Amino acid sequence: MKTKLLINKLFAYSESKNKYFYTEFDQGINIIYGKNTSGKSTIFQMLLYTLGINDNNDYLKEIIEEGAFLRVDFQVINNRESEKITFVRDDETIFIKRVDKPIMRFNGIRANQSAEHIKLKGFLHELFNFTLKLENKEGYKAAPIEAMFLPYYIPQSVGWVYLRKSFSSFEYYKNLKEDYLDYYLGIESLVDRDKKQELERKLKSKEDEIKFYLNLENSNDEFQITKLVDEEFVEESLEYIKLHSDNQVLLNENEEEYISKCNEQSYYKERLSLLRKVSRHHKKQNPLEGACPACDRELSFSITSSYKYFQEENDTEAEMVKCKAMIKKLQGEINSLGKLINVRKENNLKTYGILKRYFNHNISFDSWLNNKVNIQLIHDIKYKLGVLSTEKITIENSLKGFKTEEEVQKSRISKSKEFERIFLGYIDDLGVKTLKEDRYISLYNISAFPSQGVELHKTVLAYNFALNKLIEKTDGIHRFPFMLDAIFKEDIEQSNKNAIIEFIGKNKPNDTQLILSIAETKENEKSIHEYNKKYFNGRAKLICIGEGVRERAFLTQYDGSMENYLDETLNIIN
Amino acid sequence: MNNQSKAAVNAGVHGSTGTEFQKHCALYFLFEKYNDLKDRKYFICIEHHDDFLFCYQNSDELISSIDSYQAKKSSEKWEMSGLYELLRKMTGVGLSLNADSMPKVNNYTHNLEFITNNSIQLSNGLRGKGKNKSITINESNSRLKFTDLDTEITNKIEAELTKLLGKDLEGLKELNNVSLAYIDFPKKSAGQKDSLVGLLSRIFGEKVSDHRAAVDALLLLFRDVENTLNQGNVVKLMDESKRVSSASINDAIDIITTKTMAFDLWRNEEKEVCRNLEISIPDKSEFKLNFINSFDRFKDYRQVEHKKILSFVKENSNIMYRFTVETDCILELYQMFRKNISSQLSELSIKAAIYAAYIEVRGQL
Repeated sequence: MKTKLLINKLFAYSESKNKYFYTEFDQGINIIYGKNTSGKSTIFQMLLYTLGINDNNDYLKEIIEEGAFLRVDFQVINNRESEKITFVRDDETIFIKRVDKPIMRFNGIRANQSAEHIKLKGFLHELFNFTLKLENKEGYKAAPIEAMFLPYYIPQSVGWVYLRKSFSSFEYYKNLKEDYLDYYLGIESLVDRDKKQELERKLKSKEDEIKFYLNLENSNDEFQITKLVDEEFVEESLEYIKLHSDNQVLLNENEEEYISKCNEQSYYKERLSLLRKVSRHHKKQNPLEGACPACDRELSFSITSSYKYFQEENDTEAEMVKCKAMIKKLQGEINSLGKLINVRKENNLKTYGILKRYFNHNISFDSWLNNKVNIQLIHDIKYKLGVLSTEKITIENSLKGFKTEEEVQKSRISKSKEFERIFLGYIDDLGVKTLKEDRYISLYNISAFPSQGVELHKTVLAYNFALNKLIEKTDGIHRFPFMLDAIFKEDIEQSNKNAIIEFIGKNKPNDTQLILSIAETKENEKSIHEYNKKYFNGRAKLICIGEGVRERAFLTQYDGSMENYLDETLNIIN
Repeated sequence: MNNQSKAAVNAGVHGSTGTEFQKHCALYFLFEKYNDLKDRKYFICIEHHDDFLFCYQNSDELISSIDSYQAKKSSEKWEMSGLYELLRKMTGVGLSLNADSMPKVNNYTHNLEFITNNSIQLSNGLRGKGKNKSITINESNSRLKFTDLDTEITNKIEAELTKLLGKDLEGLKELNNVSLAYIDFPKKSAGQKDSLVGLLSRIFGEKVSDHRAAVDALLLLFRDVENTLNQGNVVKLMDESKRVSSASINDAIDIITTKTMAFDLWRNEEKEVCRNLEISIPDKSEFKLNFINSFDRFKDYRQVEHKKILSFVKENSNIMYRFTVETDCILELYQMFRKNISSQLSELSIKAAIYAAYIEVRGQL
């Protein structure tokens, strides 16, 4: 069962510059074309940015600085069920609209380590049933959002030269190649999972027990009760009760503070929403060209009215910046208060449970004797700890052996064989000289290719298509649109262009969208139509950027044509 | 009129975006000279004879002197070869200024200045040790008059100009009025505006609360003149449609110093408002938000109810002189408004808006 992502619409709008961009995507093939530097790559980067990936922020700097917000509408298809979801990203905040659900909001997501970005990552992993974990110096952690796009996105910058370098954030993971390929080829599931899980469970319980013995004074209910009951510990019992009540007072204070922070944040959200509205209206009321909306008369120009207008405009913008900063700051405070409250609640629940049992305790000879036994036990703990530590090390050692197990090796070899067959077929199709050495054709050994120029370009193309085909055959792996940015290098001549596009037409994945970009000038627009007719049966959707003539002009003057859609977007944000 | 200046009559008028650098320079000089200019009579012309002119008048409106500027932005440094054609044009401007029929005083003079934001290297064109003479105009040596240059360099320039002028050598003597200057101005328009904002804040300080808005407003002084085409290709200083007079400049400066909108100060009154109007505790936070937001709603013509309140308070601002206690005045305005004008807004919103309008209007009285 696969979870599929289908991108429907991309929309960008800059309030301050009154500029926008809008396009729709087809279910099948989408060809983005336009002059060099007209903004074709920007489309890919904006899609990724809107879905929470921060890796491209530098490329998008100009657009982000124009104060644009971005919106992506997409569908998540799972088992023939399809859900429509909208993501809107406004600088550091992402808003998520799902049908019949309240709008979710993640504030302050520009840093990948921020609590909000980790929440967002968790949300996306669950949405697409993505479970890859990668190892860095802090141990195995849920893989970044980028990892979900890694096999599906070839960027213009490095994608046609290096493998697995589409995003910069993968440098610090150990065994990236193996973990990543194993996951996407479904190899983990072939391992004797039960056995491994059993060991993991045992390890966890040993660790817990060790922790438990170490923190015995506070963590074992029986022992706590023993202490409370035993006459030796009367003073400690009183202290225990006092601690509980102090904790409760602190908890109440934290909760109070939490509520007032939330209210304070609502205040700024409400104010920001008004400022946005005023700003939008105000844009159309510039005395230099605007008209009065109340009476439709042209506003008359004078230095006085313009000066007033400029001051108002600057003030609105400054106030919006202030509001956004406050919302972000408060979100941080709310998050850390939330965490604190949870910890306190857990602690209180525990102490409360112990106290309850203490008060219900029937003191008899039996229980007295039991208590005395427990006290003896407390003295034995040091010995017990030593034993546990040894056991833990043994389990850890046997777990280490797991990844190199023969079965894993075997299935890697079989997947490699399958890959080799498809890959060699593809490079033959593309007219590339056959590769012979193991390090260039065996999936787990490939880290670079020996050729350069067009030859390298085509080899990388074949590699990515072969890997995609292999993933398509793996159960349970999410499927994202195959996104190829700049399928022609600048110096490719026409016969090679034809070969590449024919190859793509023939071998494109059948279960996902294909989004690719081609740099063509206005004069060559005809050839785009010809490619479409000849190699895609005329079924590709053509998306032209900058009318084939403009450079660095991704956003265009907003002409008022999308009022409803824009209002809907603003409603999501507000 | 000679042919040379005719060609430059409407230069740049059609692409009025290309004249940004000229406008920025004109404003720059206006600021630089402001202390000297503020009590004099003068006018500025844009795209008229040359890129811009500062024309000084005596009390009878006769022209006493003119500073004419040729402003060129450049990303490379200037060398001799690039200057001849410009100098030919400038000497032509000198001749046509002399010929202009606008009445002048007897001892009328003019200065023809070339300004640029890159360094200018002048030399006698000879190579070899001891033979080469050169001088550079840049940050450390920002202005030189033609008459102060080394004779070998002036001779070289005169020789090249003679070639360009052909038969009509009258322009050569205008070289004595020429000067060349370096202006420390960034390359990009936005950077130039930043410098202007800095310059303006040095001159006016806290008299203006939003210096950027003030610069934007002052630039509009040149808006009408730059969009007016010269009639029939004849340049005349008499043509008032191409002038920005000292009177209108003084008006504009009056506007930017008196019509200042001190939003931050106004919003700061938030702390006092509830106490002054005895707003009950449960209504306090709503009232404060209403108060703060009112300043933003006043900006927007679509917030008709709020616009009504602001104009009401403006129209009745004369009653402010009758009160010594502000609260009484605000309450009176509120009562008057309720009596005379119907509004859908809640009582609390009206009160908050009247308070805000009161503060905004009071600040501008």
